Amino acid sequence: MERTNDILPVVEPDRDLDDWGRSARLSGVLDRTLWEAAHKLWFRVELQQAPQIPSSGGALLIVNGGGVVSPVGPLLAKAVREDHPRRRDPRLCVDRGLLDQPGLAVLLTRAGAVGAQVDDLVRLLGDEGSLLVLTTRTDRLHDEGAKSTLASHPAVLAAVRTGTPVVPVVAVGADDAQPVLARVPLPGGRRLPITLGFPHLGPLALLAFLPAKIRLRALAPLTPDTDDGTGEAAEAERIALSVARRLRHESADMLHARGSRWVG
Amino acid sequence: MTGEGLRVLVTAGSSRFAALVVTALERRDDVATVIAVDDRAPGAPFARAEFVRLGAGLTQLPRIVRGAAVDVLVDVRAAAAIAPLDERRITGHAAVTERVSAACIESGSPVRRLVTVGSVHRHGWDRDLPAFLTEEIEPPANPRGGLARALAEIERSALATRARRPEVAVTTVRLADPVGPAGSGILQAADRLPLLPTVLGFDPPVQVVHEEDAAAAVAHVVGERLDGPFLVAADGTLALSEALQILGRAHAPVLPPWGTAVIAGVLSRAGLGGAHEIAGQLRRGRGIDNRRLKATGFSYRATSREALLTASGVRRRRRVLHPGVPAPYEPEVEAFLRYSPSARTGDGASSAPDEDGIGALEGDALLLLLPSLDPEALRALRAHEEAGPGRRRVLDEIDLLLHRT
Repeated sequence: MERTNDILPVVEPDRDLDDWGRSARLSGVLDRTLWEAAHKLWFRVELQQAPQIPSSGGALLIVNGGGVVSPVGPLLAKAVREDHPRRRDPRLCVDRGLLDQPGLAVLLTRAGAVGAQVDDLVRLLGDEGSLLVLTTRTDRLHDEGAKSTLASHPAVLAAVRTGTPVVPVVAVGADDAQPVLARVPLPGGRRLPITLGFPHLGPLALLAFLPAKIRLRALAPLTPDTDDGTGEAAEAERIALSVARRLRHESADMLHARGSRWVG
Repeated sequence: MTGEGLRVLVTAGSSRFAALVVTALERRDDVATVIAVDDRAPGAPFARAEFVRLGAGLTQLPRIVRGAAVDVLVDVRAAAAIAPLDERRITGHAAVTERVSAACIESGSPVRRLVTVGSVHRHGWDRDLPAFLTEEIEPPANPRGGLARALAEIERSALATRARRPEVAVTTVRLADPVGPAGSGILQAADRLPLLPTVLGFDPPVQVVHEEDAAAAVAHVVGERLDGPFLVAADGTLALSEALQILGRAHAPVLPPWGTAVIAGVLSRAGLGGAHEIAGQLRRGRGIDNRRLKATGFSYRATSREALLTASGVRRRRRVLHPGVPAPYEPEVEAFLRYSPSARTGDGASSAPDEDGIGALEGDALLLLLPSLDPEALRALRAHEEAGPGRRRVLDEIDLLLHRT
């Protein structure tokens, strides 16, 4: 029997959409306009140690500074396209609930986002060898937060299942671009962030970012290993804790070394 | 099993899909005998297979199975009913399912393998399903909707057969919506309506399979003696809007994004067959991972897009939504041609008219596909076109692309 990644579906190059629904035309337009302006002019994004991101095969990039309206995920994807030696094109991993919302479902899919579902991410990371960007909130990088959220996240579980490298990427400045002023508790344990523009500006909050300089630094990859009999869940927890601690420490160092939050 | 080749019996022999399966089985060297059964006469005679018309409920099926020493029983009722979304035909399956099970488990039954051909609709449309279904994903025990429930019962009956007689291998084939001249599933609904209403804010994925590929996949599973579940779908997951554009059908996003399941439930109670399946396709859609079957050596002739292009071309040409009426099946004529000493040669009758098949791409549809081919494929296609239809426009376009490369 052939290996399953040798018999992936054929690619029809004249189609605009790929099998995941990503539109080459729309993602190209967004890349050349919105993300180009955000990357080069507004946030002046700088990706350090880009060669830490594997040049081939699947890898999961976990970046801090995420949140409901944070642009750090697409900005990291753009930075990898610009600054990585192989100019790889990552996909964004988003909550499946977002893909169940009318309008957003089409927009996010066409822009290249994929839902956080273990089987899908196993295919993407293991069989298709894609780069995947997962954002995590900076205030959840403490050990308990990492155990409760990151360790059980489908992307981390998929990385463990496929033995895909996990690359922590520190983001400094992302939280300053739209600082969270308060969090209002919601039913179900969730909390709604209140920022300078959200929720009172609605979707316009997506445009109301302060021009903080964003520095990204890729750290050495962690490779999951379950060959010694470690269970998937235990290995996912180890990876999650390790990623969170490294992000915490490196982020503290970078903040300490930073001069101004606006000019870096 | 007999040494000289498999002896295969196919149910629902009067349906178009079963006719295609029979034709695909007839072409295999490892299949010695093909018998088709149903309670209705088929639309056209078979080339090599024999048809036996049974009474309602197929009560005589076990006798036929014993009498013909059938090795493999291929139950395509579900797939045959799903293609035209014939909910009543599949929900009234219990009596026949019982006969199929009896034919496999009764003492002295020669059956060694039961192949159940169903549909991926068996998996339902739960929001927690992955974007691409795989064989490892367990379908729900109690799915929503009449069609999915009937599919579940037929599969459960097959598994119960194996439990009662472990030497009978069970293979479950779940097909994506097969497309062909007759259309299928949501795409058939699009054909029936002047304007297909879609769900506002969603453009779900669609993956189909050409009906000839689907039939060939069933024949492959039978001939290669494969066990377990297999999902059958062509390469390429399209967006619904893309699929409708290929078919040349208009759509309007007028259905509300919330409450589609409730609306489907009401429509289903009002008698609209497959309402849950149509609602699920319009709201969520699904992709299908077809790699397990491909890993066994099966290759699809058409991608999802090519299947739709072929189907839409044939339909445009024929201006009808049904597969047409080929030479009618007359039992006496068949008996005369096959067994009478006066008959000298076969009349070449075939149940699958080739002119409507995968190779039936119209010139315009073919021209659209040409840029996706590499030079080697273009040269091969040119040779084929020159030896066959020899359409000037197609040849000129291939020459132009070869010249550019």
